[in-house]
Amino acid sequence: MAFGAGSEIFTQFINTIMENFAAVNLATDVPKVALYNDTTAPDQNAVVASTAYAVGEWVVGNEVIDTSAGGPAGWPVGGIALDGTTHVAAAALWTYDANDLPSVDNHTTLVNVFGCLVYDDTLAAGCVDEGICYNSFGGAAQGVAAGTFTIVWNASGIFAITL
Amino acid sequence: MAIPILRTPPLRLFGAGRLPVLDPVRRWHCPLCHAQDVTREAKPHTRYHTCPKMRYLTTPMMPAGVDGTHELHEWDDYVGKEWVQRDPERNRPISSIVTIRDGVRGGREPGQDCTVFAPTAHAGAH
Repeated sequence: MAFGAGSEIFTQFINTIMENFAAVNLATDVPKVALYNDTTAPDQNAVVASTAYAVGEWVVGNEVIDTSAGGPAGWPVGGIALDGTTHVAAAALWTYDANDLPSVDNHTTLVNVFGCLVYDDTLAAGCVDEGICYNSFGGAAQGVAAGTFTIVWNASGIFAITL
Repeated sequence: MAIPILRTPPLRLFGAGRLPVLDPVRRWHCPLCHAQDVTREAKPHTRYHTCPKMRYLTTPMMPAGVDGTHELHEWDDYVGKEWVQRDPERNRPISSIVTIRDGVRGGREPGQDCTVFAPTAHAGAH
């Protein structure tokens, strides 16, 4: 199995919004970003429970955390919260974005990072920690040794829906 | 028995008892294009710049006194319908910039930083 080079919005996340399965409010919710290795095999069409953090392919065993001497503070279990989130609805395009995301400290060690899960850490009912999307880092292992790991989000956003 | 009430002295906003707010000055450089910059920020951070030697991508700078280099890694797989990030110079799909630090003059151990350029997860509604 492999993480692959695909980045997708979970089908069930759209369904959650459409059916009001959970009180998703991306204007105020604070999603988190957890890192994953190549054992993870993301499935865009997984059942809703299996899109959540620590469930299905997103189990802690597949998660990559800071293994430095001071770890896992640099990139802890459960990931790091997005900061400065924005959403824009214009010109037949809905875009969700945030500030670029660096590790908490500059002496983080991460090995075999292939992609990340963005999940709604605010949801306490419906599907707790439901997955929003996953983003691949290109199909090759990424990592840092006693350094800073930074995710630079695309200018087109973390995820987007064209209409 | 009466319990004595201990009062803490009022926080002084001015004068000799004032706690200074430190904004440490940090100097940065790029080992490839030799750009230099200065930040005044207490929190851990990395300075970035648009580097002409890295195809004009947003590239991290190194703390002054630390030597090393940057490596640019292109997308390692079929791009397909991915909304990947591309470098402005050659329009090639980019996955990461790896910064390899080999100097200890700045007080940091050798190591490696990584900046990944995540694609946009996207869907179309028709």
